[in-house]
Amino acid sequence: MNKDFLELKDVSYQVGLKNILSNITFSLKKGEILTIVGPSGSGKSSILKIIAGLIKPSNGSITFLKNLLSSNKVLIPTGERKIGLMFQEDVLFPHYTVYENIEFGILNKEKNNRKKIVSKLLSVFKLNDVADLYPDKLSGGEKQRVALARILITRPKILLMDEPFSSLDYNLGKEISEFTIKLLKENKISVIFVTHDIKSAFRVSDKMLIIKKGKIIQNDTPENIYNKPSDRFIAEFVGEANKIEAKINKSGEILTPFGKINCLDCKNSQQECNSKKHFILIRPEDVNFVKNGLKCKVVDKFFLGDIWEYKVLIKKTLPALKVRTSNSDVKINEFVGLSINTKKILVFSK
Amino acid sequence: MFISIAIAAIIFIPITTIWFKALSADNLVWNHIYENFFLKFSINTIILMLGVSILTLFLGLISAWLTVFYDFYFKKLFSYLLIIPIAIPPYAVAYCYADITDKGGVLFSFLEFLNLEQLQYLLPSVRSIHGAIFVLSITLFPYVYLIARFSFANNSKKIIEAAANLGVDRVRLFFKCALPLGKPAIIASLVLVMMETMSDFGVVHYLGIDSLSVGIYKSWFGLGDFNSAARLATILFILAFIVITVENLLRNKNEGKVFSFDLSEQDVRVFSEKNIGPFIVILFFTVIALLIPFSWLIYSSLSLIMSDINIIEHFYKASFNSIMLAFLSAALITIVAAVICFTQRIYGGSLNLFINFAKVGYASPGIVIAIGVITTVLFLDKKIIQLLQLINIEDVGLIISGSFFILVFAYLIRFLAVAFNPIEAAYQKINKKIDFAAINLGAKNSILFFKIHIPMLQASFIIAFLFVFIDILKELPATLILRPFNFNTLSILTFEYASSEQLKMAAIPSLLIMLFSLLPLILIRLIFKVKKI
Repeated sequence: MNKDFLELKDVSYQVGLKNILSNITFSLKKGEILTIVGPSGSGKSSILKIIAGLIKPSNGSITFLKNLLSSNKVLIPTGERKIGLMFQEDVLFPHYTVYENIEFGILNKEKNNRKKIVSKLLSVFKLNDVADLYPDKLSGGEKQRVALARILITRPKILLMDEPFSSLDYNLGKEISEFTIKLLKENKISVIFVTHDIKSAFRVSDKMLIIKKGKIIQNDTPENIYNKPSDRFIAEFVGEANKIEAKINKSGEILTPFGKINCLDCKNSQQECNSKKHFILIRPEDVNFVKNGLKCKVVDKFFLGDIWEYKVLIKKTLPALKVRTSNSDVKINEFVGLSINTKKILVFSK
Repeated sequence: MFISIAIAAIIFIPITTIWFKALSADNLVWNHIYENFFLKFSINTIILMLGVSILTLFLGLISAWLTVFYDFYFKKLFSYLLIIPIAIPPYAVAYCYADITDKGGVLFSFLEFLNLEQLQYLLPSVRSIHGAIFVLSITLFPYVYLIARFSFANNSKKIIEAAANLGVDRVRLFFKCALPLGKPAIIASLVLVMMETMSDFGVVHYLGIDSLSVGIYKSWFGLGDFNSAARLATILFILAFIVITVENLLRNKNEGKVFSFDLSEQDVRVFSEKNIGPFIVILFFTVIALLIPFSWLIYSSLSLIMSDINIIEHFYKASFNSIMLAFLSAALITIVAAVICFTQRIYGGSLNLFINFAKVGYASPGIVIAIGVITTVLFLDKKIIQLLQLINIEDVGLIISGSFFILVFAYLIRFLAVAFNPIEAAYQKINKKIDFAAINLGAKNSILFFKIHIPMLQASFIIAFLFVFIDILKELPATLILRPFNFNTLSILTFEYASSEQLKMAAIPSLLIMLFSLLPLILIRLIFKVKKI
């Protein structure tokens, strides 16, 4: 688990004059699950295609088990990399049955041997009943299981998954992703996921990579990404947050409705800090209703299924604050007390 | 990739050869052509193109409009009958109407029978530019019909239904909704009609219209100056190129499919009451474009066959030659188109320029291609003879010219685009990630092509093959000029019999061409239906 398995170093990719990826550097350990998250068009899928060998990077290198896969001079063909790629949409071969689709990756093996391997996978993936069907007769979940079995038959050391469950409904997607992750962990297959579903990224990842406009802006554990985002974009991208403009006093302290806090960004250079605008971000679930807290008025209330969301007003000059709690007793127009652990407040300057 | 570039180059060479030949035309002959005929050739060609465009638009748009939005008796049957004129060679329709309207023809006899001889002089003659426009229009309008029909039923359907619901009257619906919405598709179909009109030789030659294509033939075989023919061919090519360029500028490039032979899902019926008006109009179109020519072909053929059953034996060999030639050439052309499409998909952008060269044959009428091919091949033959003489092999004669190969080569240039279009359109529908998945699973290019693409694209391969097959079966000018000595096809026999005014004899091979084309047409329709293309 400690050994670097795959390593990307200063990988860039250009199409015409446009930089799709710039200086992408990260590594992956054996059995590790890394998730790449970012907005649409940020270059997530391009990273997967470069690792898989479907496109050639303009610059930089990729090494896998210390062997060079891609560089300015070298490009190992995708089929020889032992890196499997699974797509978001259904890309099963429509003219082959489930059995034949799975068998496709091992056509160079002897027929008897092929049969044994395919049969085993069919039963692991619970596809025995649909083995003779063509893809158009399968459900969404079955299609994804066939696609996964088809990749795994080639015994990849790394599996690249490009939003593989996004076309499935929430419950089915969750079920299949749990089944997949369990299977991959059992087989110690490293995985790089691309997704825009933050919740599933947090659930499955050992490590997360946040990417924006082709650049990595944070590479960290899921907890740190959520609790210690490196910038405001990440803080807002990975979870909902209340945004409040804050003032700074002469001694460099940020003045918030909940008390004074230090500006983590610029405490070393107060002059610079004084010239910048500051924002504080507070996650709705980090705020609680208490008896003797900061006084505020409840202006709205929504039921979200497993939780309640309230909108509260501290001052007329401040925007309404969202609070998420399991407490359902608070009523609209009621005055309540608010409390927050100031360590949870995220501060950013602009 | 190399193969595709080589194919593109091989196709482009004969076209460029014509341009070079055109530069060295004999001044004396060219001056004679220029002073006496050139203006007439050009004006006639332009009048033909404009006239046929207007009349095909009228026939095609009205047919599409009525069959999509109105309900009338035998609507479904008429919808399919209106496609069949595609299978009739235009020159056969010319013979039919000439035979009917000429002095002593059916119409004259009918008026005589009615004792209305004084009206005989009012009968229009088909042996005029108006006649040529009429004949070409009734054989070419199915292209406009099919494309406009698809556009009305698929692209404009909802808007027209909504407008009809708002109470907009039918004339306005047609001019304000259907026409503007169908404009890109209609332009594409018009270009097809214009190209076919320009490249037509059989109709204009028989009806005695001096168009550019007839001029090329006359310059070469009448005045004996090949280079002047090449010069006229270059002018025709430029005209074709202008038409294609204008179409490219006007058409929406993002538009996908423009027509389908499966008409069953194109039944909209905004005006659902049964109408007698549309029925009469469509019946009239069907009668003039299909029933009259078809009945004439059947009547003329049967009257000869009944009088001498052995006459049919004359056509065994030509039928075999036509089918064999069309089959082999269509197979080769489809394979070449498939290889080029595959290479374009794998290697992408850098190949597009070469592929556009490969498509240029579409913009070149058959007679132009015949000249280009013969020039190139004669040059090659001379070089081969010189080479053989170096190693003391004498008297070998022309090796490639006059062989079967030269004809197939000409067809390849002429019809590559016909095969290319359905395959390219089908390729665009296959998700590129299917390729990525196969390559990622270790498939090499050959596996990707044979095990993934060919099975997935087989319907479009068959459609491409059948379209080319029908076109080659009907093709006349290139076949006439380039056929090997003593090699007759049905189209050649039709031309030869008609040239010696044996119109009834010409009807038999024409009918055979029609029947041999009908089967592929039915197959194409079935594929469109089954595969939901």
